[in-house]
Formats: sequence, structure tokens, C-alpha cells
Amino acid sequence: MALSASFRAALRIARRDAWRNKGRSLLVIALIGLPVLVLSAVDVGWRTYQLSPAQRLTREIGAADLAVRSAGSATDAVQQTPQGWLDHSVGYATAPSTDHASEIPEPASDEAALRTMLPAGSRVISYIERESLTIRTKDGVEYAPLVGFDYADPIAKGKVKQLSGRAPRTADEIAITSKLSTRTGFKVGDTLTTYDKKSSYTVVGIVDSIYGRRDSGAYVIPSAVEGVSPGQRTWLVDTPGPFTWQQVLQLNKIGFVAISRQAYLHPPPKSQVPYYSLAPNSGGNTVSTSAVATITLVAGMALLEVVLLAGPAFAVSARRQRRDLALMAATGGRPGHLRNVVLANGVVLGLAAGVIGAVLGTGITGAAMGLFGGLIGQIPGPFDIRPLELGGVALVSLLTAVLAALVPARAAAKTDVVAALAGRRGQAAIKRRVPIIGTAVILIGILVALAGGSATRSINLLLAGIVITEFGLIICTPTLITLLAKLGRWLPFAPRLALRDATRNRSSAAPAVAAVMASVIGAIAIAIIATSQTDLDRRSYEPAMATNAAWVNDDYYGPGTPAADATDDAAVTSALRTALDTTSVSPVYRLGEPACLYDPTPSGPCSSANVSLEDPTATSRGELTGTRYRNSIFNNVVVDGGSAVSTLFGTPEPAAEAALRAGKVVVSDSAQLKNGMLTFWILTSTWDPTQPNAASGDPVKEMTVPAVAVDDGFAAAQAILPPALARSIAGEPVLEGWVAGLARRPTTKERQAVNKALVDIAPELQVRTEDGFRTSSEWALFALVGAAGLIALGAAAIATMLANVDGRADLVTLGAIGASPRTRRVVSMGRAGVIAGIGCVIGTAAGFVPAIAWIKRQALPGSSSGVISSDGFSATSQPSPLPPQLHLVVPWPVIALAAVGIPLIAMLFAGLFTRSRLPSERRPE
Amino acid sequence: MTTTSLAVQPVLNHPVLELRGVSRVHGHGDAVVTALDNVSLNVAAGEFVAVMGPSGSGKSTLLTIAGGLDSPTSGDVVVSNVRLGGLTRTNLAAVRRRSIGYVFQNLNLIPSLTAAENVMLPRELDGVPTRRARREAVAILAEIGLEALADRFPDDMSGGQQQRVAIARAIVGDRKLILADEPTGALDSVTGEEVLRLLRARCDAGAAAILVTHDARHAGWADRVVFLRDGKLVDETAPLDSPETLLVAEV
Amino acid sequence: MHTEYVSVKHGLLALLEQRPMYGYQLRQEFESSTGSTWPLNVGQVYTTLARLERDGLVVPANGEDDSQRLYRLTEDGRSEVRGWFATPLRHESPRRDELAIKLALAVRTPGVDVRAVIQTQRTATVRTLQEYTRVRESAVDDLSWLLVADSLIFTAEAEIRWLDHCETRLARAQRSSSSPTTTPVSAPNQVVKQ
Repeated sequence: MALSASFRAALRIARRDAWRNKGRSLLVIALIGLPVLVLSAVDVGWRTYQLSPAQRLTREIGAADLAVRSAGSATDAVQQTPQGWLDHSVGYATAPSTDHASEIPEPASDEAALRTMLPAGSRVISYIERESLTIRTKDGVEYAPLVGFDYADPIAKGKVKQLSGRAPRTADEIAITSKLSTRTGFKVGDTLTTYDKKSSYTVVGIVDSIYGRRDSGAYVIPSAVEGVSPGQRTWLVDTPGPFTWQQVLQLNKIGFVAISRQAYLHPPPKSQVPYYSLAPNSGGNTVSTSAVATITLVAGMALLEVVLLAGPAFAVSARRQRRDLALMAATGGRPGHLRNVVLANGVVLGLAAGVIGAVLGTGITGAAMGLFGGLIGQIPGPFDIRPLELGGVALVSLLTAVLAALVPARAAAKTDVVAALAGRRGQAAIKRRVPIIGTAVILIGILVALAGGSATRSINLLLAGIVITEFGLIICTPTLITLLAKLGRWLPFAPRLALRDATRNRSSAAPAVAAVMASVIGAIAIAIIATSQTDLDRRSYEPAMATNAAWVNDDYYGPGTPAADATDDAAVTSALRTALDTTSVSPVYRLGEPACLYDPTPSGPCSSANVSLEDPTATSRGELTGTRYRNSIFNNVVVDGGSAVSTLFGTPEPAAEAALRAGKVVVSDSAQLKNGMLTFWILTSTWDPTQPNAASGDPVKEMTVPAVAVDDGFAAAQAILPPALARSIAGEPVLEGWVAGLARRPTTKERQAVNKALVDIAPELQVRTEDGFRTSSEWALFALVGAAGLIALGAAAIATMLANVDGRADLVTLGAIGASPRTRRVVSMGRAGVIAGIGCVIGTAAGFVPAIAWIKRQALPGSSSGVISSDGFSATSQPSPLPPQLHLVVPWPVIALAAVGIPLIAMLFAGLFTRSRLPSERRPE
Repeated sequence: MTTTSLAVQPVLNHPVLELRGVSRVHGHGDAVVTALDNVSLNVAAGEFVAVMGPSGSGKSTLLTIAGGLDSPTSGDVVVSNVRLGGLTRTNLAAVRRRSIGYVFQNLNLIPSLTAAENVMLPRELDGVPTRRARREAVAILAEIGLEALADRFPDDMSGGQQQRVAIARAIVGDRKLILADEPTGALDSVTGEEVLRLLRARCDAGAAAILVTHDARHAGWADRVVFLRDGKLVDETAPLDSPETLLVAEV
Repeated sequence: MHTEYVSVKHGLLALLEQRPMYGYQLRQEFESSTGSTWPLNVGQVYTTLARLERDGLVVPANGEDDSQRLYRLTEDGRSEVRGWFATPLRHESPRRDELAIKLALAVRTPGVDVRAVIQTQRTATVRTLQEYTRVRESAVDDLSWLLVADSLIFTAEAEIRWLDHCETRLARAQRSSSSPTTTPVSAPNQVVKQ
């Protein structure tokens, strides 16, 4: 496309102008170039990490011609793609074994069977992955995957990178990854012992897996790995010639899957792959349209933000060029020519930003690859630059810049030539219809967002509403600034000047304010939603125990297991007391269970009893009796003589202790008591293991006993029975575990110590602690507002810098009439405050709109699961109370930070970075 | 304009502005430029002094030094009995705010502020509450017949109006020294005359003024005209006779 | 002087255009209109009036025996005044300007500091200008008086501008070595102040 001569002239003017105003040009290039830089860095990085098939193959099978795995069951033939197990979504399938079962040779999965299928002269090595190796370390225990693999074999070349030392040669030698080395402190020459002390190895090498430096792992020679199941072994085979797809199919027939170098790199036609006929829909996962919409939205908003940020710079440059433009018009330039001159600024700076950003991005990625290459998952392939993609990214910057220059360009086309030549800086008044349109757009946006939040519950509608609202606000921003400037009359000098300047320089102030606004809207909306969600989470949080309690038990611990005796009790109690800062430790019992339940050779029927606080014979209930008891770690019914109850509830409960000692029941909901009496039901089940199919009903017995309620705070258990009552119902109570009250949350070291002590007593013992509801989202919120704040600060900084440059002449005047040197700083702070203040306050207010819409949407009936129908009938014996609803919770500190803090910080920065010296002043050197 | 009094105020107290042997040298070595060379000048209260000279004669430097915007390389500047030498920038600014009013050819008014706000600026900068400063500003504007302009922005005023507002700003807060640098440069002769008439009137009301100009007709308004050439004072006009004798003198 | 007669003649005719006047009234009015710039003596007034009467441009308006004669315009007089206002003045020959001659000679006379001559003249003219300005401001309500004063001021200004121009030209001539000039270069501080 040939450029017209007039546009070439415009480009020349723009180039000269950009060169003359280097500071402003650099600013614009930085703004627009930064996203380009990030995008191109990501592109190059992604391309570099995206391996070629050959690279991927080498990582999986090393230098081998073939890798073979058993398909697992080893009873049927399998079907596979040429990619085998290597390419994510493409897998292999076990063929239906109905028709041709008789024709299939006897399936086999051992090496001997494999060898029969391989051409003569093939060499086979094993690659064995065991789940984990439990290693004794200085401080405790560390786990790492154990790989049995002689990676020094030429076949293995390319899978493991030796960093120091050498490969293991004997069964008592081991190589560990650098990650494991840093975690455990083992170096070459150290002796590594497994937790069970059955094996110990000498560390002979430090390696990295080709997949990345993050992986923990250890390599021994294959023969050193014991008890290998078929699925854990992969054979790497070096064949004399290429291993063909037909040969792979033969392997499939006896239950092996294979990756053949030949078939992988040169896949056979689909017709030759039976797998595709079996599972034609394999592969090709589709991205959902809403994800595409969201990504487009985010990218679009980011682009809008950059356009808004860069806009002021173009506006200023257009204003600076006013006289030039007027002269052009006077010598016969059409409005279109004037517009082109300003647009050309965008073209020149956009291209420059694109090129610089792409080059820098590529360079930074290159440097980063060299330095940190393997840290993020896997070791990258060779550096891969796609000029076409980078060009596309650079074009985005051109587009951004031209968009940013568009509004100033349109304004330039309407330059009042006479006023400009006369040097007047007059600015056209805003057309009356602009704020009307803007307000209408805002209203439409709010309506759409609320509609998205309620009626149709379409997330896309909600997002569209947010975007429309934002555009409306942007349209209204100039009017808003003008209106605010009228208030200036009553303000002190600095803010008044700043406000009036903002009005006069609307073309640059408005986009800056809009940029601040846009970033704050998003941050505030997310902050409100997240806070409300956290609030919901807090209200929905169901503690397993009293806060800061520890619970020790094991699932098999019971009367049938031999460990439950008094020695364990003493050992566990002392371990807890030693390792943790405990206030109390008590064993907790549950209802007795007949020993015959655990008898492996039962001789006759046995019966067990259970207790329910609800009447199991009732067929329906008029209303739900919501109970605060939800999923305590303890059984519904706990047996305690008074020693554990306070620890269970997490607070001293002398009344409950006394009641239990007096043989009364303790419940955690006073609603269950009538006149100090509790009615409960005993369900007795009889079970005859010799006649498993014999039907047996559950006899129910009603019982009413004196009881007290502990009705404050946490509900540890539905009911706590005194031991005597428990014995009368189900015999001797059984030890359930130990509960400990902790003075504070245990540290990581304490946790490790108590784990170790418990493992030493019995390997299955576990400790759990209840830390209460914890959330990290508050810091995330501040970080989010901080990020929005950074954008806001950036926008304010740009606008302030531009306004300061523009207002230099005013500073000369100010100096002459006796403004103190500080005034410059104060004026600069005022400018930053006005830009950031207007944007932040409006943005904060506007941020509520999407948040409210979202919360309304979430709170709608039917939108969350678990809501019970109105008749309240539920088949489960455990009533499900209504789940807590999402309420609007306003994070006031975050709001305050956004609305007040960011403007203040912007002013602070403006103050810090403005020279306290007036340009009119001179002194002899 | 009926307040115009022809008599030179016979107040012979201490001069409002004293330049004592002031020199100002720019640059070093070969590039030395002497902008002012040993200039001494006193301006008394009520006196209107015009400084004439060709371009580059040091007129503007004289004015910036008198106003404390620039400092002399040697010599002393005394404004209302305050020696400017040795003052900090902040204190210099305070002197400018309280004792000196500047009027330039252009760049005079801050375009973002209304006439009244421009006039009240020095008072506000001096810490006078906004409300009072505004009252004072409106009063001054009324005194010079510009109260109708109080809420107009500079872009909406004629050049002459702008310069007269600038003079109002220069005298608000009872300041005694007006420094005017070609204040009529961009105006037609009749409008320029109005500006000078206002300056003259302020001097007759007791202010001291220095007018830098290369236009003899404007210098004609002064009580005394001094001539600068190459940074030196080369001549000055003799004191004027009383107006009654002028006709006789001419005949 | 002939030209002087012409302007006095037309001045008196213009005054009589307003209303009939006595001779002493005419003198007063003439002087106040022109700001006493051209003082007239009574004799001059009556001589002129006699000539005007002879030419048929004015006639006495009261009886001949009155001690003071009141004059009024005739139709001829009226058209003469109109004609005067309608016709531009013509400077038929350049005025002999003493200052120009002085400077022209100063350039050629050795030992004379031309710049000092110029400055001395300039100071004097500026002072005159100051006086004119002041006088004008004392009678700012009288428009015709203002115009006359302005004329004087602009003439003085023109002279000063001419002096400025001379000085610039002189400086340029001194700077260009090719120009053979006899003017000595003098230091400015040789100028005598006042």
C-alpha cells in the first residue's frame, strides 16, 4: 500500500516531534512497549518450552529406539496411538476382549515375553518408578520418588543430567536430584538411610531430571529396586533397525504399549491405527466459549487501560502542536491532514514501542532462560523465535498507540485556527449531549450488570454490564472534571489550580482519570466479592475440634487392635506433653463395641448398640431442627467421665465436668433438653457373620436421662455420656484417641517433632490440630488493591508529569509573584491528588456495581447446592441446616486504602519527585 | 483617572529599592557576558522610573535582580530596607510576595485561575485565608475599575484587561514596589496608555515602580528615565519641573 | 511667516464656525484648543481678522460703533473652513532640521563623540516627552487638546526613534572595517551625566 504524500509528510512531522520531545516519547514508548515486552517474552518463552517431537521423544525414551510398558492388567490386548502414553490427551485403551480372545497369544508382561517380540540384537534396559523412598534426615523424614534406572547406559542418554559425582553402579549406591540434595542436605559421599533402616545407600552423584530442577528424586540401579509391580517398569530398547508401527501393533497384542521412535516421528496413516476406530473422539480438547470471552475481556480491558494511559501523552503533544497545526490549516491543510499529523504520532511511537518491546522481550527471555531455565517445571528446549508472532505482538502496540492518539487526533481536526494562531489556549466546550449519552450508557451498563446478576444469571451479561458501565464513566469523565472544577472556588490555591488545570487540559486529564478509575473499579469489585466470599467461608467453616486443640488417633485403633493399652496411653500423653505446648491431654472414649466385630473367624451373632438423639422411627419432621453440630472429628456420642470435656469444648466447663461426674449427660444444644431431661434412642443392630444374608431389623429403645447443655461456642459432640451410662448401653467404652488443648498454634518444628514421637510409638498414629478459620485472602486483597494502586499511581504520575511540563509557564509567573519554592511541589501534589482522587473515589463507588451484581447472582435460590426443599423432608437422619448465604461484606480498610490511600500516596510521590525550585529563579554559578 | 496628581510626592524617606554597585556576570572564561556592570539606582516611594536601552542592554536582568529572581554577582540589592543578598530562596519568595509586584509582557496571569483568583494569589501564598484574600482582590479590582472582570478567565479577557489585572495583582496587599517588564509590549497604543496610566496612578498613590521599556512614549510617563547601554547606566533625565512651569519652559 | 498665517487664519475661521466671537475670545479659545502650544498675541488676532474681513470671509456681527467687534463667518468663510478640513496638508519642502545637520556634521568632525551627542539629545528629548505626557494628563478631558499633545508626543518619539536608529547605524558602521569613518570610538563612561 503506497502511503499518500500527505501522510508521509505527517509521519515526518511526527518523527521529528517525537525526537524533539524525547521525554514524552520515551514515556509513551514505555507505556505501550511494556505489554509488548511482556507478550513477546511470553511468546518466546512458550515457544522455547514447547518442544519439538524429537525433543519430547528424547526426554521420554532417551536414545532408545523403543520404550515399552505393560498396559497393566496384562490379560488383554491393548490399542494405542503412535504417540503411546507420551502426548497428554492421547492415550491407549484396552481393546474389548470379546470376539478375538481366542486368537490372541497368551498375554504376557514380563521381560522374557517382551524379548521374544524384539528383533535379534536388541538390547533392553529397565526404567522403574517406585512410589517413594522414605529417607531419614537430620530433622525427620523426607519422601522422594525412587527410580531404578541405569542412566549411564548409552540407551538412557538424554534423560538424566549428571551435575556432580557419577551414576550408581552397585545396589548400595544412589544418585539424588539437586532438589532432594538441598532439601535433605545430603552430598556426594554421604550415607542415606531409609526410614525403616532396612536399606542404606552411598550418595555417589547429584543429578537433574531432564524434566526440571524442581523434581525430588533418587536413582539407583534397577536391580536394587525390590517388589516391582508390572506397571512401574518401562523398558528402553535399542534395536538394530527402526521398530515399525506394525511391530508396535504386535506388542499391543500381548498387552504392551510402546513408543517407537520410528512411529512417533513418522506416524502411520490413521487407517492403520486401530485405536482411532475404537475411540474416534480422542484428543482435541475444546476451550469453552466463556473462557474465551473472559480472556478476550481481560485482554481488551488491559488494552483499554494502556490506551487510557497513553492517551494523555498524545493529547499533550497534540496541544503542543496546536500552532503548527493551525499554520498547516492556514496554508491549506484539510482537517483530515491535521488529524493525520496527530495520528502519525501514534503510528511512529507505536511502531517504535512495538519494535523495542519485542526486541527487549526476546532478549530478556533469552537471558532468563540461560539463568533460570529449568526452574519452572522443565528444562527448556533450544531458543525459539517466531518472527511472525512477534510481529503480530508488535502490531498490537501499533494498534494501541493509534487508538490512544485517536481522540486527540479528532480534536486536532477541529482546531480553531484563529484561536490557535492567536496563541489562545481555548478549549471547545463539551457538547451537552456527551454527558447525557455517558449517563445513559452508565445506566444501561448497571442494568445489564444487574440483569446478568439476577434474571438470566449469565456471567457474560454481567461482564458486559461492567464494561458498558466503565465506558459510560469514561464518556462522563470530562464533564465530571468540569463540574468538580466549579467547586474549586472554595478550595485553597493548590487544589484549585490543579482542578482548573485538569479542566483546561481535559484531553489529557480525562483519560488519566479514566485509567485510574478502570483499575480501581476492578480491584474494588474483586475485593468486595472476595471479602464477601471469605465471610461466607468463615460462617460456613466447620471446625473439627475446639480451636487450638490437637487430636491423636488412628483409624484402626480400637479394641480389636493390640496397641490400645495403657502403655500407649502414657506414651502418647507424654509425647504430646513433651513436643507441644499443651494445657491438657485427655484420652477420649466412645461407646463400646462387641469384640466379635473384629473377630476374623466369628462363630455366632453379635450385636452392637448406637445412640441417636433424633427419633429414628419418625417418618417426617414438621421442621428442621438445625443443630450446630456438623462434622466434628469426634463421633456424635462421646464417653467421658469429666476429664476430657473441657478440652473437647476448648473452654473450661466446670458445670459439665460436675454433671458427668454426677452421671448426667452433656449435650451441646440446649434445644434438645426438656426440663433438664434428654430423650434419646438406642438402636441395637444384631449381625450374624455366619448368616450374612439374614435380615435383621434394628430394635429401638427410647430413654430419658437427666442432662445439662454446654451451649456456648463450639459444639464438640452431640452428646457426652458418662461412663456408667455408656456401659449400661454398650458395655465397656473403647479408647478413641487423645485430645490435647494447646496454648498456641504449634510451629512446623513442633509438628515434625510430635509426628516423629508418635511414629515411634505406633506408625499409624496421626496428629491433627484445629487452627480455626484461616484465610490468606486479606493479604491477597491488599496486594490486589496495591496492583490497582500501582496502575493508578502510574496514571497519576503520567498526568501530573504532563501537567507539570504544561504548567511550567505558570510556575514562572508564580515564582515572580513570590510563591515560595515549595509551591511547585504543592502544585504538583495537588495535580496528582486531583487525578488520583477523582479516579479512585469514582472507581471505588463504581466498583460496588459489579460486586453487588455478582453477590446477588450467587445468593439466588438454586444457585448453590444443598438447599433443602420447603417441605423440609430429608431422608438422612442428620438434618441439614440451611447453608449460610453470601452477603455483601464491604472490606472497609481496602475501600479506605483505595479511595483515600492511593490518592495520598500519589500526592506523596508527586511531592517526592518534584523539585522544590521554581523555574523563574536563577542564581549566579 | 481623576485622582491623577501631577506633583511628585515630596516624600523623601528611605528609598523603596536600592541597587548599590550591582553587577551580574553570566558564564565563565571566554564566554563571560556582563549583563549588568556596577549599576546603582535608587527608587523612592511614589517615584516612577523608566529604564530604557536597546535589546541586550541588561534591562531585564536589572529587573530580575531587583525582584530577587536573580542574584547579583556583586553589589547589594535592598528592597524596603531588606538586603536581598544572603536570603534563602524561601525568604526571597516571601519578600517577593510581600513587597514586590511583577508585571511582564506576557505569561502574566495563570490561565487556569479567574481574574480575582490571580489577584488574590500573592495574598493566599502568604497565608491569608482564601475568603479574605478574595475580598481584598475584588476590592483592588474595583479600585481600578475592573470589578466586572473578577470571575473571568484570562483567555476571555483582552490583552489590556489582562495587564491591568496583572497590575492589580502586583499591588494587592499594599505592596510598594512594582517591577514592570514591557507591560505594553503586546498592546495597541491606546490600550497601552491605559495600562501606563494605571501604573502612574499607583505611583502617585505612593508606590514605587520600575518600568523596563524600549518605547520612549511609555518612558514619557515616568518621573525619571535612566538609560542602560551594555549593562551600564549611561544617562538619566533631569528631574521634571512643576507642571505650571512647563509651558513657560517650552516657549 | 506665510504658513503661520494660514494656520492662524484657518484656526480662527474654525473657531467662528462654532459661534460668533469677539477678538479676545478668539485668542482664548485658540490657545486652549491647542494647549497653548502656539501662543497668539492680540495684535496677531486682529491683523488676521482684518485680512479675513477684507477677503469677505468674516463680517462684524454687531454695530460698527461698538468698542468690541463681534465677528461671524460669511458663506465664503464657511466653505473656506470646510475646504481646509477636507484638504490634506502638504509639506512642500523638507524642513531644515538642526539636529539632523548637527549629527551629519558630527560624524565628519574629528574628536566628537557621536554617541555622546546622540545620548545627550535623547535624554533631552525624553525629558521633553515626559513633560508633554504630564501636561497632556493634566487636561485629559479635552479631546482637541489631547490630539495636539499627542502630536507633540509622537513627534518627540519619532525623534527618539530616529536617534536610536542613528546609534544602531553608527555602531554597525564602526563594526564594519571597510567603512572609512572619522568617528572616534569613545568609551561610554566618557559621557557626562547630566
